[in-house]
Amino acid sequence: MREARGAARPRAASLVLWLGFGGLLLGILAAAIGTLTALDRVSGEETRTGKTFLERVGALDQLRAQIYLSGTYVRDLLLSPDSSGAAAQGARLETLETGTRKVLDTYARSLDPAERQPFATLRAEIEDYWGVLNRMETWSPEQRNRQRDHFFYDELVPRRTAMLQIADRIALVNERGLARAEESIEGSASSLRRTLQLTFGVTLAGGLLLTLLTIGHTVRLERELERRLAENSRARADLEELSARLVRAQENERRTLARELHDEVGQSLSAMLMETENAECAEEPEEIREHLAAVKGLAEKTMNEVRDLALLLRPSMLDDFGLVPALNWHARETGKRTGLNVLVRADGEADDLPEEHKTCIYRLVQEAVNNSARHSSARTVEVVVERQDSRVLFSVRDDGCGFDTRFVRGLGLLGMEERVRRLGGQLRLDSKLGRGTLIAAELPLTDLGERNGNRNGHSHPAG
Amino acid sequence: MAIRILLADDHTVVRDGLRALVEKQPDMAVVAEASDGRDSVRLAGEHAPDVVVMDIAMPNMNGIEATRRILAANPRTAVVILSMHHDESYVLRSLKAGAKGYLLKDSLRSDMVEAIRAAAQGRSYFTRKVSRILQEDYVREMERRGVDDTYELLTDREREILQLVAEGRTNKDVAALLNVSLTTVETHRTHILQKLDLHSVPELILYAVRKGIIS
Repeated sequence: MREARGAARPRAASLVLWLGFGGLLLGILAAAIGTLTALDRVSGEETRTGKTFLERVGALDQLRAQIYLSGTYVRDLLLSPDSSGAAAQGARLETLETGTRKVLDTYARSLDPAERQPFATLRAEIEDYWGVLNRMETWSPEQRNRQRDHFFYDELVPRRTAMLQIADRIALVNERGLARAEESIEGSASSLRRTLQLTFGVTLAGGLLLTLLTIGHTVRLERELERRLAENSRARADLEELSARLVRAQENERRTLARELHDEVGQSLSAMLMETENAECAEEPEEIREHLAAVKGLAEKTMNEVRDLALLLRPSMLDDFGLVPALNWHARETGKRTGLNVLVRADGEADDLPEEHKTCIYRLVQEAVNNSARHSSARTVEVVVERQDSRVLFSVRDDGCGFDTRFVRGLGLLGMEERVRRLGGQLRLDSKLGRGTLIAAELPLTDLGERNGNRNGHSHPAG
Repeated sequence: MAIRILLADDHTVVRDGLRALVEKQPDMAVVAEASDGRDSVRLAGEHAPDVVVMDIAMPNMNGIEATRRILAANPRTAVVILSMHHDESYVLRSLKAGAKGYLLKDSLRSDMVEAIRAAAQGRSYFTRKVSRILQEDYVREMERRGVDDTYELLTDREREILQLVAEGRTNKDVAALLNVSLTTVETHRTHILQKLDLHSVPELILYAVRKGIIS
């Protein structure tokens, strides 16, 4: 469970990083493209507006110039003495008329709504103007002479002035249009600025958030790594210490065993040797019997010592009768030795276990009961062994003083954990100061079938 | 006719010692020697000995399992267990397997001879040392648990019958000896087991040994 969660978290984190950075890059790209497009649009609009304005101003100027020029031509025509001169001026006026129409037509193509009304007036005025001029052209030289001044000053000049005024109005409208267009460009530019500000703000905030997240995550990972490293080195140190202690314990056990063999068994044997030699040298049958009796006593003593030593190493009941009798024996022996009341509750099925499981359970119970006897000042210890379908549960509970599981990590306890772990089981330790101690374990029996085959193949200690 | 004996022990030294001891007795003869449990079952089947002297800790089947099989095949054979263990689990399991006697390996040889004779006659026999150790254990256990001595609950007649049954006599023998009916003996036996909270004759024998009623 914990491993799966541990694997899912880095995946989620990397997903967040990918999405975050990817989103940020896409955001920046989109902002850049949007900005460039908008800039293009604004500058294009600006150019177009400027060009249109200049065209219109040019057209209006041209119109004005044509109107002024027409005045000149009219005057020349009125003043010309012969009909050929007048015809030449008339042709000029004709060209001018076509020119003004062309300019007007061009101008009308891009007409601002505000200009429509003055433009229509201007066009009507110009048409009228040309109509009047055309009528004048048909005059005879006498008519021209007669009506010249009157026509020029009372007809042409006021019309021209009116036209020029209208053209000025249109120019004004045109200028206002330019100002409006500039305003609209200014608006697009400022809207672009706002969009840019927003985009950069969002991108910056996102980037900042992502950076913070990334830093936080990295820091967390680093801490986790450091913690694991520390844990690892602590575990390694523990392991080293444990193995050192195990080696020491083993060595101590061997020393005790060697001393026992040498001091007790060896001494008894050499005493027996001495007694047999004495018997050999003795004269009287009575004396011989005495020495032999001594030898017998020593042999009995040695036998008991050897038996006790062998039982200490491995109780023969475990091999001869099984787990439950061995546990009962150990309970009785402990009771005899220490006065501790050890109760064993185990069903017969608990005996039908693989050899390794029996040994594991026996050693654990032995260790736990011995601990209770040695450290807990308990009065009663309850040992329970229960076989269920595919597992065996066992526990040792005492009513002693208990201990703080945070600080006490005895070699025995580590040994127990190791034994249980090797069989794929779990050890539970529950102890509080003043509340007794419970050591419980569960061993799985999944591969019981294949082990059952060599269940009876154990060896027997000499007896 | 001599008591025909099978010796079963995986140590030659022990077997030699036993043979030397047994052959000094005019009424005893060793018919075969076995060096492991399986061997002892086979030889007991071949020779049908009166008494088997059986070690417990042997390779290829321990002495208790061998005892069970020998007695299943031939109930007339008597088995005397020879062991270095004086723990009650060994004694009780030997009795449950049907052994008549239980000796320690450091027993006096007179004990051994007497145990073989008693077994041949169908009586139980326990080394005094075993009885003493079991008695001490029992008393200690009773004191530790603070349990009252249930022996006090028995009547005189029941105590008499307890001793006779524990010595290995059949109900019929007991009835004849006490001159009462077989049903009476059976009723007494049931009462005794109930009062002492025992469940089988082997447990009853163990109890008698612990109480020092028999040895």
